[in-house]
Amino acid sequence: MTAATTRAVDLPMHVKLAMYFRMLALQGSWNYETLNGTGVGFAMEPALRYLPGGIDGPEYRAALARESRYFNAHPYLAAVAVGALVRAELDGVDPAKIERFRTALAGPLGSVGDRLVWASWLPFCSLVAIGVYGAGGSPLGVVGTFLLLYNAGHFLLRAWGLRIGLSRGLNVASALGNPVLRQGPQYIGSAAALVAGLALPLALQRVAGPGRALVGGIIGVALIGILLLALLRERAEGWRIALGVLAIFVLYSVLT
Amino acid sequence: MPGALPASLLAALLTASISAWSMVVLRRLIAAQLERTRDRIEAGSRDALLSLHLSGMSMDLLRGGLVTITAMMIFAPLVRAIVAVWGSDSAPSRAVVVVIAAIVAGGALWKVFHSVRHVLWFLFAGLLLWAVVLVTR
Repeated sequence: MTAATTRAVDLPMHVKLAMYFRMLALQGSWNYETLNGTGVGFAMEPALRYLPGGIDGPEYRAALARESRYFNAHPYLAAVAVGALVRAELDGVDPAKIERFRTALAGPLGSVGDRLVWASWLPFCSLVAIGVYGAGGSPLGVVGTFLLLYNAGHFLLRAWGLRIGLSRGLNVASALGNPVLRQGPQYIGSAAALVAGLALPLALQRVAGPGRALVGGIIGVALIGILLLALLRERAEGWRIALGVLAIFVLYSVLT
Repeated sequence: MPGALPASLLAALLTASISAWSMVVLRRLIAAQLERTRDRIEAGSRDALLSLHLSGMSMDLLRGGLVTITAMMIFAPLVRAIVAVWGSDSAPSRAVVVVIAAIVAGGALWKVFHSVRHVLWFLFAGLLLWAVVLVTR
């Protein structure tokens, strides 16, 4: 499509934007064989057109095939891999080295992303939204707060990942030592605990309505339940228990 | 309407579990499609890759729409029927929902945050803030 010497950092802005928007749909072809692999290939495709020969060239086809193979990482932090792999492909790095890099990068990106997003940012945003509800927020306010906060986080994370990947290429591993990635889960977890202490009782009060005895009773029973659930650990899934108890209660209330 | 909250929550949880199952089915369908186009994708075919990805996204859109419409068709009249014959009082109905939600939320939060340093102190600080809000309201 263009000169063979196009480097990843020199890619036109519209190509970087195309990759960025494609990454939002990275899991569009997620399956139990290649996991995120085909999604990574899909996201990298606009940049691979800049390989010698363009979309009809053997380099393009070989790179697209290589990058569409099995890959498993956190979908947001996969942006780091997408950027780094694009740079490696455009810099003409040895395919065997790219394969090894691809395999080595998946694990750390998965574990860092899981800790930062699924185990920290997502619960934190949910708790803030619950807090907005407890403070008297409207349904739109509650949903809007969650969506704005959560999406701001992952949009920024993806943008950072793509930029750092494109700029560092195969040397991107050092970027995973970034303080936000290393210390972020700890700080977000602390903030989430603080928000939980404030938001959950407020929300509980709003749902349960007036009556201190009722609220006190609810808190007591809930604490016992949480303790039991914590003791059961992996042996019980909270939502399954909730579904069962709720079904029994609805059945009881309908039949009496 | 005392039964509206528990009945709606039950409907939402059932819809969520059906949705999760449909996601597994979709991912198997995508894998089957991948199997059919594997040779072309391994040969670096742009068309095969784009077709796989775009059809995966389209099927997901269809899946989401079907789950939503089906759930609304089944649960909207069912919830109305449950509410019409609901026998429990309003306060205990809400309380049961809140207790269940609090246990599930609390259990999940503990699972996620128990390894965070000084987490209980932050939780107590939050509870203290709640107490301040209670007093000043």
